[in-house]
Amino acid sequence: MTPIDEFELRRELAAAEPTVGTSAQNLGASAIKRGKAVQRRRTGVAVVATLALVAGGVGLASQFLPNRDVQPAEPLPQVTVSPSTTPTAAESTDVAPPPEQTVPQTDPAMEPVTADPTSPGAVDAPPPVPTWTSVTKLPGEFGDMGGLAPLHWQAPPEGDTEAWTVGDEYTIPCGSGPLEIPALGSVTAGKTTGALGPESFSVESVLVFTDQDAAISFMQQLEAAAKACVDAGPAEPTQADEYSPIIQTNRAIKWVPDLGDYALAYTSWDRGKIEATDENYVDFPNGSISLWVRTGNVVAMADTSGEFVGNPMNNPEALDWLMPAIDHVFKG
Amino acid sequence: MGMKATQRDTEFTGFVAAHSGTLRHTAYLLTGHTQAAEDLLQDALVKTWLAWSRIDPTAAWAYTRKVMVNLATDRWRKRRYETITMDLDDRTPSSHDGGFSESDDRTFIVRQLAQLSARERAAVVLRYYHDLPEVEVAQLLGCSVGTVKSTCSRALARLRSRGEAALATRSQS
Repeated sequence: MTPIDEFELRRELAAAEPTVGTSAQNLGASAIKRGKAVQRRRTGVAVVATLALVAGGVGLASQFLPNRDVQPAEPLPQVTVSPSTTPTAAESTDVAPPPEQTVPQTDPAMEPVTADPTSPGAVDAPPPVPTWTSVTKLPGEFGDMGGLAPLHWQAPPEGDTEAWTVGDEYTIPCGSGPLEIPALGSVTAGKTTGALGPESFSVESVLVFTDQDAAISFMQQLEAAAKACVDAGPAEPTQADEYSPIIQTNRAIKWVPDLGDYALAYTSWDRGKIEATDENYVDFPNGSISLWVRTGNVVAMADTSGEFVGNPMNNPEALDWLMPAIDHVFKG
Repeated sequence: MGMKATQRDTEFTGFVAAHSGTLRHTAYLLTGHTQAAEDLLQDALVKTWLAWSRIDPTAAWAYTRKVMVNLATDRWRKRRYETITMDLDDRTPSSHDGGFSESDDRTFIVRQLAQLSARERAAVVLRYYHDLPEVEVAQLLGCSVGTVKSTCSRALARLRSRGEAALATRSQS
């Protein structure tokens, strides 16, 4: 390939003018109108905050402060980066040889508390603990977590990273649709949160299961479903129109040794063609990695999507970015 | 001393009239999509108006450009999760003159830019469209000069020359 030189690039960039858009007059008027609306909103919030402070309710004021001024809050998207899944033949599934095993777990801090019906003080059996009903979506905020929470639960904006918000819409992606994990029905408590940053979009989730066996089943089903997605074979690449790049999304699932009782990494990355006539796909900067770790009856997940080029599992820093969120759940 | 609202609006309107063309061009290169470029430009102008009393009017152009670069990377990532498309065929043929294939001329480099990351695209636009020195590009992107050099070098290596692209197309027909 003959790369473009600086002189040609400058000419091309100068020549690539957009179509005529909103007139300058209307553009300015629209910006002023929207700016004044933002100012009014800020002023109203400041009045509320001031009144609350006067009344001694600083904590009350905080719930009225918006996170964004110019743009309305957006619902967080699914944990997926493209609607299609097209694994390449070269990236075969690499799944852990040792299967999930039942190991006696005696950490009472991670077990849901239930009354013993045979104890002298018990009168009636407690009502059954409600469990999560979706087999595709992770719970945004559900049940009694017993103090467990994702690392960035309710974290405020920091630098260019937006505030972490709760979401009930997170799913585990596969091109044909989200993965279905029946064992999600054994979740008694869960919290999931996400935030958009300057370099990535991140998600963290903590799931508490009825018992360790249920958590083991979840990891087994996750592994099997992800492997089935990877092994399903390449789907048709996507192309928005004849002028857009042709995008192919690849996925892989891999066991991660020496992490918790059992751990999996589920990754995706894009490859594309600029022109339909191009012979080969090349790596495009878009990928994601989800790290799932089970210890006892608790599963923690940390996910990040961003400018990865190629399989994120080949990036030695990828897991390092996610480990603080995992350590927070299991090490405090 | 506060600025009167009418004076502020008058100055801002004049600024938009003088610079909207170039700003829109920048937004288009950053997004590759006419409508996304309009959205980006409008959002950046709102932020500029809100900050008008704090910025030097003679530097408002540079301020708006910086806001667009910052918004573009966030916006691009959001679009990644909404749609992965870069819709380039959104103009009406009658709106432009010229006997040559304008879609090829105008969209060629924009299609090439699609394969770059948001930061790479921003670095290329600031360095080769605005001809900013590497030091200034580094300040705008919040990185080192060395990172700007390597980013631009990497981006150029992935952009194909028009001549080769035309040759590849002919060889396939």
